[in-house]
Amino acid sequence: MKNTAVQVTDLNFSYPDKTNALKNINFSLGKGQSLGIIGPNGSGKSTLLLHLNGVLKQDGSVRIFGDLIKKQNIKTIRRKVGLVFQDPNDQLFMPTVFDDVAFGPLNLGMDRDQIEKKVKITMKNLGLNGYEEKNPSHLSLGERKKVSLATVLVLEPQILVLDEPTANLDPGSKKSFINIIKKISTTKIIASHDMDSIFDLCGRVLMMNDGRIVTQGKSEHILMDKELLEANNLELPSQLRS
Amino acid sequence: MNLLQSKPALHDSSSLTKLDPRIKIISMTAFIVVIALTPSTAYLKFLFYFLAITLILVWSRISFKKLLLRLFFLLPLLAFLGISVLVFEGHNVSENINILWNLSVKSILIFLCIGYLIFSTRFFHLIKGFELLKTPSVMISVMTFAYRYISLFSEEAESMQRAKKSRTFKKHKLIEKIKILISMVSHLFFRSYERTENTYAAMLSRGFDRKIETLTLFKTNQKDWIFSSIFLLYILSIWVVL
Repeated sequence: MKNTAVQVTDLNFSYPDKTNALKNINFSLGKGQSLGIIGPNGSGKSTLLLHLNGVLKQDGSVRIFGDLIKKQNIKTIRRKVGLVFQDPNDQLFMPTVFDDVAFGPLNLGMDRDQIEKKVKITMKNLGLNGYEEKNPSHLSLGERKKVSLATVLVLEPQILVLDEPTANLDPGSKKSFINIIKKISTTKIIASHDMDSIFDLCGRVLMMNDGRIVTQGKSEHILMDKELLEANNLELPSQLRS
Repeated sequence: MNLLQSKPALHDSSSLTKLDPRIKIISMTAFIVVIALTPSTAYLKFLFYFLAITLILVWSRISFKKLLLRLFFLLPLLAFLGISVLVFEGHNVSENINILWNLSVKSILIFLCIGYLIFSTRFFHLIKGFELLKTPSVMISVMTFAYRYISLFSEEAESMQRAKKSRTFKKHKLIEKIKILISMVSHLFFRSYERTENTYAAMLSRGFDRKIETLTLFKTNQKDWIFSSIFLLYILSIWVVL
């Protein structure tokens, strides 16, 4: 069980306006694996991600390394599962980059002497040296995405969850961001409809549409199935088009 | 210019800005109470209050330009109060002027006290100060979220204003302008609500549990006690002697 990083069983979720965002979701992910969650807009990808560290909760169960997410262990779970949001403006809310990166470790009660060191190391690893005192809202989108990633990596999560990590990035920033994510060896779950990034980063794929899982399996099988992709408003990765 | 986004102050620029936030809060609260209780005809007392707060502001190297810019927002409120007093109070002219003087002088003095608190202290240090002084957690939460949500609100308003300008090709009549404004305000509320929900989810996912944590562990020192003693003694002596 401890080799299973994520186990989702019979997960259902409805928003207050009665929209059924998730319908009977079941999947599991082994430790160290990378899973791509693909699907068109509104398919329930982001809603599913919010269940992985207990931000949303309704019917069904989510287990992280065998532990069922519940109120009592939410801090431990959030330390294990780092969630990077799609829009960095939602993720960054402190007056300086340093404060934003230090926010998580402070809340999780890490030793204060260590926090400063950890923040600096994380920022250095992501090429964010010299950004400490900058206001996050004054950075470019690519830089804000990097800072968002730093705010999560500083917690040294065992599972990294990324929601549309390459959305709206220019090709250069996208390439650099994908390279950064590639180097991270932890278990990864990446939601995106950017097939190129998923093809590059994930060994397994789970396809969603209208709140349901359409199919799941190896990337090379699903991402090469043109008909299936097109039926779900997706397209072949550019590497496979010819 | 976005006033909420501008850099607040040089927080470590002088010994008065470096004071423990609890000392600042207690001193300024005491001062505000004394100002509020001072009879409107005690002109000399008001003069000494102005001297005291001006000295503090100068010593803290707080920009008067910034303060005056924000004071500008207080003026409409004072004007409204002034009109209300002149129209609705049944006193004679000199009594009305006295009421107006009382409101104005006290509002401005209190504004300057709050200005010192805000511009000399990092926001989260100020919140931590209130928390350490056992301010009810509901009030702390309200202040924390107001800080973040007001800036989100203003960001959304700015982006909507830009979108409106880019699609405005003719001069609108007043009635059209009002219609557009009403529609914008309702959209603004929805958009801000969505963004604040996302931001709160991002805070939760990094371990936030409505308790503010700061890297600095506050500890009062000799300077803090010297400042508070001298300041409170000064206020007390003005109150008693004059």
